[in-house]
Amino acid sequence: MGENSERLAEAMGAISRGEIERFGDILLADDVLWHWPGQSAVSGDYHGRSAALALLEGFHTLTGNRLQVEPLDILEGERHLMSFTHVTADKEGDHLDVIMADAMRFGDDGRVVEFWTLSNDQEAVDAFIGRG
Amino acid sequence: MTEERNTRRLEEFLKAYADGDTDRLGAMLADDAVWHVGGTHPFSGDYRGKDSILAYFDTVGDETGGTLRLDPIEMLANDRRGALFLRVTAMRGDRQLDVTMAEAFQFDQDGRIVEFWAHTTDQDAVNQFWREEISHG
Repeated sequence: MGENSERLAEAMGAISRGEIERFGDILLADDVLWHWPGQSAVSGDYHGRSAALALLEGFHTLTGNRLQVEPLDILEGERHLMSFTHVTADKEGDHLDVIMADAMRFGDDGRVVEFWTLSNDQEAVDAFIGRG
Repeated sequence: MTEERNTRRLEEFLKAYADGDTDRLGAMLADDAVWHVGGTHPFSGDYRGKDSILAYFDTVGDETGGTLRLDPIEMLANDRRGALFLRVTAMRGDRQLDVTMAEAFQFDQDGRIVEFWAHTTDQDAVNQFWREEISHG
């Protein structure tokens, strides 16, 4: 496991304990740019760590504790990393079943400067989060 | 070994794409591959099946008069999946595109691409670039 994967694992540990601030401190650069695709209530670009954390809090509020996240693969290079997960959830008869690919670009200090949240079924993700 | 093999497949894919070589591209796609194109422009949507995906490649190649270029920044792969970070540039009439993309690939057991999905640094720029068709004088 490379340095960036280790940092990601530490940050994911924090978020699983509900420590969103700590997740940001470990993983995100001050000027991170986070791209969330699609047409949902949280879709758009978020500039800066506090905006990115507000996005995550919004996402967690909208999806509650309903998401089951199964790690599949982490591909790590010198500057970039992609983390594949199988995400499933149920809400009022609506079943979500997608592969997510979280794409990250790391800056010089080892924290993420750009983040893309990729899904293989964006419409399903949008529908689950809800429209803006 | 398979890591190297699939990284090389991503390289070959980019090369075949640059050459506009439909046969080579077709050989790298599973028959039932799915290609997800994000955004809210006329080419957004899911392309299902090899023929449909190749037709999509042809269309965007024609629309950009062969100016569409994919320049890799970093390529990552294991035996099941791949990641491609790349710069995409193209001209379409007097419109210019210059964005970075993060692309995810899923391979089958024979190393063919079965699924592709992606997102960009600037979805608005991509939507504007591909918005309604323009005439080619």
